[in-house]
Amino acid sequence: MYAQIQRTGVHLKMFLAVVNKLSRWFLHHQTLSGYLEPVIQWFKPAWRTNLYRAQVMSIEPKAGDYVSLVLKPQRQWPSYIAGQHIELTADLNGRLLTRIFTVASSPNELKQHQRITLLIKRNELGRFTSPLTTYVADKSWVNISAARGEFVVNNLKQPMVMVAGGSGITPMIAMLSQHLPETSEPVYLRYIASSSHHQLTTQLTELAASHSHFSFDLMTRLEHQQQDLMLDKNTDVYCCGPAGLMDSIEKIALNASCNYYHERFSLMPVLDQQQVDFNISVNGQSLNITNKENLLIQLEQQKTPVTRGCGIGVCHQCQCYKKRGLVKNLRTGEISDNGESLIQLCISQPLSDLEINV
Amino acid sequence: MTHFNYQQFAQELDEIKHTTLQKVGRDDAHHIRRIIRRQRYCGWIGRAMLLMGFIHPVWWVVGVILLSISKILENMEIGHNVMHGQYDWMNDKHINSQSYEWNIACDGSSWNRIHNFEHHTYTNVIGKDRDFGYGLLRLSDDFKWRIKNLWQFITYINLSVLFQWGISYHELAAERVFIGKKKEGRDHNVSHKALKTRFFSKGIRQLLKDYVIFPLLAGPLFLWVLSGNLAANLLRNLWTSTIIFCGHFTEHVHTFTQASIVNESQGQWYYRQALGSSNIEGGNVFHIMTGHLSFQIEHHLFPDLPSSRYQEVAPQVQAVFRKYELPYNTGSFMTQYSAVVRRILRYSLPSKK
Repeated sequence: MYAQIQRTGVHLKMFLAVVNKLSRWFLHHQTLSGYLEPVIQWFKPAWRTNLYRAQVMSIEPKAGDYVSLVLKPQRQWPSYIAGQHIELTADLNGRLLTRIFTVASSPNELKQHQRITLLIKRNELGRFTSPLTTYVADKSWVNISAARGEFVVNNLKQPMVMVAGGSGITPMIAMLSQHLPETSEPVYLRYIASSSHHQLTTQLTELAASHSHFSFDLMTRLEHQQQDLMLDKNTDVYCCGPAGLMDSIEKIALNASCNYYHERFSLMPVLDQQQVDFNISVNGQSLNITNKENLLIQLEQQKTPVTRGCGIGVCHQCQCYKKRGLVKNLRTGEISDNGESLIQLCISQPLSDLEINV
Repeated sequence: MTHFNYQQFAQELDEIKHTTLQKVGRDDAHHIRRIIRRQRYCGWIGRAMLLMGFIHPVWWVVGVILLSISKILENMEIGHNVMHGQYDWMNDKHINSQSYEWNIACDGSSWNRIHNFEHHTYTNVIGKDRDFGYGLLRLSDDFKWRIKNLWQFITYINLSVLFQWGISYHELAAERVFIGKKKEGRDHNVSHKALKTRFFSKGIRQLLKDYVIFPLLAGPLFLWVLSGNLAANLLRNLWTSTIIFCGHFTEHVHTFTQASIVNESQGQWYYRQALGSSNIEGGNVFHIMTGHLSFQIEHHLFPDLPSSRYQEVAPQVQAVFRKYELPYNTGSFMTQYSAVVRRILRYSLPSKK
């Protein structure tokens, strides 16, 4: 039986490979589904190749510049482990923008109610969050990727201490609601945020009420600095938050001979008016650049295989995919989004470290 | 024109572009996806109708028309505009200038080099913009008269009939890949070998698709499908060629010398684009069928502005032209086309001077 399923799987794969080869040759699309996409979208909104669909069940603003987004993923979406993150792609006024968010609810809840919750912090430029509340409404459709990430609970037989800073609470809440019923070891959470900006406090209180081995403290950064974190030996320490916080907790954990686990978010780069020198990764190769010249000139000087066209932003010959980082469009003055987008090298001024594919 | 204020002229056009780009969004994304859907439906129904030819030939005619519409939409409103990068802001994996490959004989990247770069940067600059006459036609006194120009109207008809192959061969011809004297000091971005490979691989696939595979799939209806595809390709070629000639080779379109564009400012660039193009008047359906190249002036001023916005910016551009006393070359299809024919015929003969 299994062999038969496997054989069908292989046949299906071969069939799809042939179909896609034909579509490349004769329909000029990498895949047949790419050719059909706009038509399928007419019947199934937000249907996209290589992405899962999810319907918005609710979207609500929360205190402290947060938005809570409850999604119902399509049935084929593979579940996740508490603590993992997904890529959320939303059509925001015609633009498809993608951001990474940790799922802030437990896999159990997905199983029972087909729901996942994302807790989204508004960032400085607000490219994603402000239009999100404008263009994404209840019942509309977005896309999600399969879940990824290594930041998960490793051992339920050890005491756990969790330290969350700001939006770093999201993996913690998923882990707590999933795993508290499965362990009897003491679990402590220290959650650091500006006063009255703490999220999910009702849920935390409920968890503490129903699980006597769980306790938590809500602290401001000042309170956190004034009260040392006490760690027993052989405790597993989990930390998610700003880089500075994670560095200091790591030190404390290792000094106390504890196991330490953390999740680094690639946060929005901070726009620094003073900074002129940046690092750029071109197809994985690292180079130094400045903001004094456009990217095309600098990459040509460093003998990178870029294509030169008109040099004035008309012809799109030098265009390439920016994977990450901020650039300024010298023609329109517009500052790019941090995520993946096409940029024209000849009219792009670097404003942060960049990663591009040529 | 010594007192022409190029800087202010550029500012006013930039302003139009800027305010329009601010408005670009969901409606424009819907527009291009809607056109893609309609293009697919026309293509599928058209190919199916060709098979009905054996019931009554009128179905075959309907099929040819639908298939031509599908091919025209794909080349003009979708292919041309998407490959210009007009819809890159959507971040759609399939609708952007990097991944889109259009459904004609011409390889997309070759066209990007010749059209997006050379033609749009050096519009109507003699010796730089090889689209001006395509190296086949004498369309201004900048070119020396030769005997072959006597019958260039026939050359023009042939070019129109085979237009997709003309575009496909354009870069190879200019690079003298197969025949002719190679020009000295040309900086080759792409090797001749790569050009040849791309030319043949794309061209042969196009021929296979329309003249072998689809007819064979039709079995006994082989000839209905073959002739239908041939007719649809012919109609598409004639239509695109005609629209493009109306956009650049009408009677009063200006040409420029290479010396005049040294250290050209943005204002001077706009000025050259303005005088090097001409528009055709018509309704919404007509504009879509031309890929909005009926707004050739606006397209040349703002080549990467989504085509869905050309109808909206045209009156604003026209107002600026009026203010600066620049001719805004527009007219009905018949006016513009007869101007093209007159131009081709006029320069068939040596100049009177």
